This record gives sequence, C-alpha cells and structure tokens, in this order.
Amino acid sequence: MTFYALGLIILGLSSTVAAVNFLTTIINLRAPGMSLMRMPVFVWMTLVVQFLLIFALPVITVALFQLFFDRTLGTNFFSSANGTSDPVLWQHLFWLFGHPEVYILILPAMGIVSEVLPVFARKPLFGYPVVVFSGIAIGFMGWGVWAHHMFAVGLGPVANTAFALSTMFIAVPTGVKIFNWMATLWGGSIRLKAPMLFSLGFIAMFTIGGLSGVTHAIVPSDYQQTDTYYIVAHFHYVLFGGAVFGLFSGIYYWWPKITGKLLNDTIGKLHFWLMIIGFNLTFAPMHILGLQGMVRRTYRYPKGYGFDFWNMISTIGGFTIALSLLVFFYNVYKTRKEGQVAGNDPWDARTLEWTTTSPPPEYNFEEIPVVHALDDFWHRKYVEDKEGRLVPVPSGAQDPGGDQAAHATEAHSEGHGIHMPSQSYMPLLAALGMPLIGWGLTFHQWWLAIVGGLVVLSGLYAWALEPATEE
Amino acid sequence: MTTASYVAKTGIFSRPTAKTGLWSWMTTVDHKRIGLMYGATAIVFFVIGGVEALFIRLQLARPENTLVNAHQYNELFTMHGLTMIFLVVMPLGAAFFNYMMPIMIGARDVAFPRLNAFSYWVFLLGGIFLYSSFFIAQAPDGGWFGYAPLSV
Repeated sequence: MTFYALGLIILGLSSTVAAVNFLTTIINLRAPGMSLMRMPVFVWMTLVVQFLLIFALPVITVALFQLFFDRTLGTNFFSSANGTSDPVLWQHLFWLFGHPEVYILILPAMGIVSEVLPVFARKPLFGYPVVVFSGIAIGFMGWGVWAHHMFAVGLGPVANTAFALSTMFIAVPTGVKIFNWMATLWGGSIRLKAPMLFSLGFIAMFTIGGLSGVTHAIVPSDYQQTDTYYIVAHFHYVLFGGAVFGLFSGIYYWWPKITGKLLNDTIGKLHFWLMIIGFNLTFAPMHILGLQGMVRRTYRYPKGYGFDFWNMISTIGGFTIALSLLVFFYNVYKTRKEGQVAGNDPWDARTLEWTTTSPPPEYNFEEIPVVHALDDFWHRKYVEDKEGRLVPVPSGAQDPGGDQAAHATEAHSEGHGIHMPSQSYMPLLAALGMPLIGWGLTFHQWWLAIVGGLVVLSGLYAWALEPATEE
Repeated sequence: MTTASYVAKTGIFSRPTAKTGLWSWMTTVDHKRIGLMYGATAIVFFVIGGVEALFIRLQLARPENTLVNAHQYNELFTMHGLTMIFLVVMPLGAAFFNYMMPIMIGARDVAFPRLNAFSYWVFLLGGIFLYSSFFIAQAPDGGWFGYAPLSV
C-alpha cells in the first residue's frame, strides 16, 4: 500500500497542476465577448471540476502523507498498538476527498452530454442558466455529503440524519439537470447518431444509478446495503453508465474535429448497443445479488446461496462489454484507413470549435473569434423567421466582417505571424524525477529519492532559465 | 509580418524545435497534442483496468472458483478501482479539457503550456509507478479507499 500512498500523491500533483492551469485559462483567456454566461456548458463543468480538484486534492494528499508516515516512519495517525490513533479519521479524510471526487468524475460527462443533446436535437439547451447553476450547486453541495459513505461506522443518529438529508438534497440539482436534458429533447428534430445514442444512454443509466443512490441516503436501508454488491451496482451505474457513456459520447462527437474523419456511424451504433446491453447484463444483476446479501470484496462464494445464476449472467455481460470495445477499436482502425472526411462542421453544431478546421491548426484560429451570444456559431448560421422556424443565413451574407475575415485568412495563411509557445524538454525532465522519488521512498533507498528530487529540481530550474522562444 | 524579431536567446539552454517524430511529442506544449496523449494513455489504462475486471468476473462466474487466490483478488479489485478512477476517467476528462476547452472559449492555448505538459508527464509516470508495484508483487490490495488499519 506504500505504492498506493505515493502513487496517488504523484497523480494528485498532476491533477492539481492541471487544475490551476485550466482555471487560469478559463478565467483569463476567453475570446472577446465570451462572457461567463456565454460559455458552453462543457466549459462551465470544466471550471467547476477544477475548483473541486483544487480543494479536494489537498485533503487526500495530507491523508496519504500521514498514511505513508504511519507505514514508513512509525507514526500513529490511523493505527497503533495501544489504541491512541483513530482509524475513522482516515475514512473522514478519504471521503471528504472521495465524494467531491465522484463529482469530478461525473461533471465532465454531464458537460459533454449538455453539448451533444442540443446539437442532435437541433434545439438550444433547455434552461442553460439552470443547468449551469445546478452544476455549481452540485459542486458546493458535494462537500457536505461525505459521511453517507460511513453510515454504518457508528457516527450516531444526529450525524447520520444530517448527512442523509444533505444527500437527498444533492439529488435535487442532479434531477434538475436530467429534466433539462429531457426538455431539450422535447419537440426537437432528433438525429440518432452514435454520439446522441451514447448521450441518451448516459441519461438513462445515470438516472438508474442516481435512484439507487437515493436508496443509500435512507440510513436504515443503507445499513442493509453497506458492503454488498448493491453498492457495486450503484456506483457502476453512475461511473460506467454515467461517466464512461458520457465520455464515449464525447469521443464520437469530437472525433471528426480531432482527426478530420468521422467514425463509422453504423459500427458506432453496434458498439453502443453491445455496450449498453453488456453493461446492464453485468451490473443490473448486482442489485439482486446485493439485496440477497452477497458481500463485496470476497474472492469466492459458497454454493447454494442462490448467487450462482446472477454471477454467471454478470460475467457474460462483462465479456459483452469487452466485445463492444473491440468493435470500437475496429471502428477506429477502419476510420483511419477509409473514414469519411468530416469537414469543419459535420454535425451542424453550435460552439466555436466547429468554426475552425478539422483537425485545428496549431494556433487554433487564424483570427480570434468575437462572440456575440450564447451558441454564437449557431446564430451565425441560422436566424428565426416570424413563426420561430429556423432559416439558414445565406452564405456570404452572414456577417459584416466576412470580407475582413477573408482578407485576414490570406494574410495569416499557414499561421505566419501567430506566435505560439516554444516546445520544451523541461516538463518531461522534471516529471521523470517523480517516480524515482517514489521508488526511493518505497524501498527505503534514500539516495534514489534524493536523486529523484535533484532531477525534479534541475528540471524546474532549467525550466525557469530556458529562453522564451526558439525559431 | 515576420517572425524573426521574436528570436531572443537569453537563457543558457535552447528550446527544441522538432515538428514531427517522437521528440516533437515528448517536447510538445500544444494543448491539442497533450490532450491526445492524455486520451491515448487513458485508453491504454482502460484496457488494462478492463482486463482486471474480466479476471474478477471470471473468478466470480462460478461458486468456489480457484482461478485466483484471495490476495490476488484483493490486488485485482484494488488496481481495477484505482485504474478506472485515477488513470481512465479523470485523464479522459482531462483529455477533453485539454483539447476542447481552449478552442471552445476561443483561445490559442492554455495559460501555462509547459505546466500543461508537466501535468501530463507526471500523470503518465505516476501511472507507471503505480503499475510497477505488480512487478515486485506489492500491488495495493486494500481497496481503492485504503481503509485503515488495513492500509497501515
């Protein structure tokens, strides 16, 4: 478990650094006119996640250092022979990080779904401000629910009641989002392409996971469920049915932007159906197993408890998921060889990334765009007539800056004159020291840890001293 | 507009300029390339964590199975959880933050491009560090939440 403590500290450092970077980017580098309430929901959710990371990771890092000290230096934070330490302290620290962490995992997927649904329903996101504020509310309330992981520890009725209530409350902004997504679909002209299927799968599976989550919020019911497969079923419905489906929706949605070629839609649909069937075969039976009393984290179970059948179904489901991934990899391979060229805007989308080429040039935009509205790109393409029907803007007439843009393209072709940051060896060099420190501390080879520390330091100093640019 | 005026060698080191090949990826500070590396690495770990899950399911397919022993099983579910959370879902999210977020807000790159590369490399090496435990049979086995006193 020393590897666990040090490995997570290293990974936490990576996430902290990235969080500071993204926060600064979103706050400072938005294009002219891109006010906060004109940002795409995905960017909003990114922002919330970075705040969660910045506040949650220090908690787990402190706990992991204490764990490491307990293991290596003989301190007694969490465990000692004479009972002066507090094992429950670890649980508090872990879940004070751990619960925001689950929102760190799910909010990006929620952001992706909030991008995909409007594009494939050809309607604006229903209640954009409400979706944004529910995301922020989840970010805040996520800090007040951690002890629902510890109902069975014996914190007492007052603490259990308080955390049960806060846990039920956090279902409200989550439910608000689900209703907003459904209202986005309502009356839209829906195109069931692969990204849309994965987003719809996300909503359905995440709702099931959310509902089983509410059953954990009821303390007496949670006493029955703690450490059974019912919990395993619940968190796979939110983290696989939720996060992974959302992320695959993003992969199918943005693949043409990133590679310039559209993933094959038919194979994508096959991937989706295999995955969602396999997923439900794997994890739905775990609800039943859990309620029958099958315990988590045991490597085998006896015959005759009625666990045999559903476990076999679950295993078949697991291999179905694996098969669906093979289908995905085949799709990637086939697309690479003979994929349909995407063009700049294959989905008739709404946000800025679709205004540039696929894949985007290193400098992203020849001219930094000026933003006039939420879904600015959509408004450049469509206006509404008197009855509220969408009418495409004739090409060429779309904006008074058209001539100017054409002129600018000429002047900036191939990005001459756009200054981009120079490459550097130093981030890699500084990072190389990290595992050396880790191995040194794990095996008590202090010299190796010192060498690692020196590598990190020299990387950082060289980073500070290297010239600003190189041409 | 010329770029020559930007050249200013003021430090003691020079900056790499490779535009293609391995070194161009190892020294890149472009948010799109870093996003791609995050995504590709996360998919590799997704396969590894998925294989661990398949071992768990194979073991549990039948009662009283003997495919893995108790200790190996503990390592499998612990590493499956750690992998899927810290090495798959978080970095896949980071891949999209990296690639898409700057473009979606109309920026040319993130605020600190070298720091961005640093966080990717620390993530990759942290993942390798975590998995190196398998080679010396000391893989974490206390669950992803590492409850004390089991973890101590």
